Amino acid sequence: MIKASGLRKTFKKRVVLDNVNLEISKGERVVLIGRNGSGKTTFIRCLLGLYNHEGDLTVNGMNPRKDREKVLRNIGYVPQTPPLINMRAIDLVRYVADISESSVESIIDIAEKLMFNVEVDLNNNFMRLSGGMKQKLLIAIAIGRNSDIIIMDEPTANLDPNSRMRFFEVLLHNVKEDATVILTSHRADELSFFAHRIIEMDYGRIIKDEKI
Amino acid sequence: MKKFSLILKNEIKESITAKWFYLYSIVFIGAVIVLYVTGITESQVLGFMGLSRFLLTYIQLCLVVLPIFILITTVRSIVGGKESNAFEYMLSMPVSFRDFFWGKLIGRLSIVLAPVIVALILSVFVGLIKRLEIEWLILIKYSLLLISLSWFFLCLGMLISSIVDRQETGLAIAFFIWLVLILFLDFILIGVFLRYRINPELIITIALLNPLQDFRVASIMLFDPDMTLLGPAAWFILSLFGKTGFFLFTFFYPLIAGFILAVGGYVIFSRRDVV
Repeated sequence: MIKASGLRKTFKKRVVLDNVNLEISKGERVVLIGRNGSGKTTFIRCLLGLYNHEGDLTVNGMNPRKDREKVLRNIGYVPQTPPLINMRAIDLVRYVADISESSVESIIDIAEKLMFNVEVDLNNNFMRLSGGMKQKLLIAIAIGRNSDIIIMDEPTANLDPNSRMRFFEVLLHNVKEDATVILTSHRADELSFFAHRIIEMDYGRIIKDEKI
Repeated sequence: MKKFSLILKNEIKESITAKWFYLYSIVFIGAVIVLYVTGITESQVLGFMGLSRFLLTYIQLCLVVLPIFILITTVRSIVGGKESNAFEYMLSMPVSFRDFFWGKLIGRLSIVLAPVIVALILSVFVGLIKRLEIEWLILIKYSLLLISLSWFFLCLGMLISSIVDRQETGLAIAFFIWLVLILFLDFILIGVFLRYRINPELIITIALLNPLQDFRVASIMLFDPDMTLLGPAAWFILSLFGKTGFFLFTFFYPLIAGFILAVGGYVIFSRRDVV
C-alpha cells in the first residue's frame, strides 16, 4: 500500500530524510517514534505530497505529488500543530466533508465521542478553540471521513488524560478494521495497545522496525 | 469544478471575516460618504462638478491606495498559508494545486473588487438622489479600468507570495514595486528625462509598461479629452494610440500581464514544497 525506497529529503544542505526504505501494508497500524527532528513529520509530509523529494514514494502505486487528488481522497490527516484557519468549526467540517465527499454527520458523531463540545464549539471560530478542542475536531474529521489511510502526527499532544482515554477508545472502535493507520509519538508505550508495528527514526533514518 | 468553487467560496468566507477586509471596505466606501458629505460634488474644479468631479477625486484614491492595499493583503496569501500551517492541512485534502491556487485567486479578486464596486454603486445611488447628471458610459469604462488594474496587482501579489519564503520579505518587495510604479508616473518620468537626456521613446515605453500610469491617463482621458491635466508622456501616448486605442490598451494590458504573472505564480507554487 505505502512504499518508500531510497527516500531522501533535504532542506538546503541539511539532510532530513536519508535513504528511507519502507513498506506498509493495507490494514497495518504503525507507530512512528523518534525524538524531535528525527524526520517523522517530514516523512508524513512527503506521503501527503506536500514536499518534493528524491527517491520513490508511492501510495497504492501512485505518486502523492503527481496524483495528489486520487491519493489524498483516501487519507485522513491530523497535523502536529493545529492550523490557523479562520472559519467556524462547523464550516470547516462542512468544507472537508464536501471536498472529500464524506459525511458531516459521521464527523460530528466521532467528535461527540471525543468529548468535543458540539453544541457550543461547532459554532465558534476554529482559531478561537482551545488546543485540545482543535485537536479533537481534527481527529474527528480524519476518522469520520472513513478513510483507508489515517495519519496522525502526535495526536495526543494537546489532549488531557480523560480525552486521551476517549481517543484510544475511538481508535479501537471507530477506525475501519482494514484501514492503514500511521501515528507518530514520542512515546511508544501509550500507543502499543493499538500498534501492529513500531518504527523508530533518528537523523532521518529508520533505526528500528519491530512487529508486535 | 466543484472543488474550485468550494475553494473560491472558502476564500471569500475567510476574507470577509478578516480585519484587513473591514479596513479596506471602510476606506473605499467611507471615501464615497466623506466626498459627498464634504460637498465635493457641488464644487467645481477645471469645469468638473457633480459625479464627474467625484469620480476624478476617486481616481487619486484608486491610484494610490488600491494597488498597495491589494498587494499588501495578497502577498500574505500563499506564504502566510505556509507559515501558519493552514496549507499543510488544507492541502492534505484531495484537491489539485490548480484548483487551490486559482480558486484562491478568483475568490480574492471578488473580495478586493467588492468594496470598490459597492462604493461606485453607492456614489451613483447618492448621485441619483441628488439629481446629479450621471454619464453611464464613463462610469462603465471607469469600472472596467478599475477591474483590470485590480486584477494586475492581485496577480502580482500572488506571484510575489509564491516566490518568497517569509511574509516580511513579500511585504518589502510589494512595497518597493508599488513605490517604483508611483515614482515613475508622468511628471517624475519627464524629470528623469530632462535630467539625464534619456531617449524619449524609452521614457514612453516605461510609461506604457506602468499600469498605474496607464490607468491614470486612461481614466482622466474619460473626463478630459484635451488632456490638460496630464503630463507630456501621457500626451505623447495618446497621440500614438488615439483615445479608443489607448482605452483598449489600458484595459487589456493589465489583464494579460496579470494573467502571465499569475501563471508564473501558479507554476512556482505547484513545483515547490507547499509547507
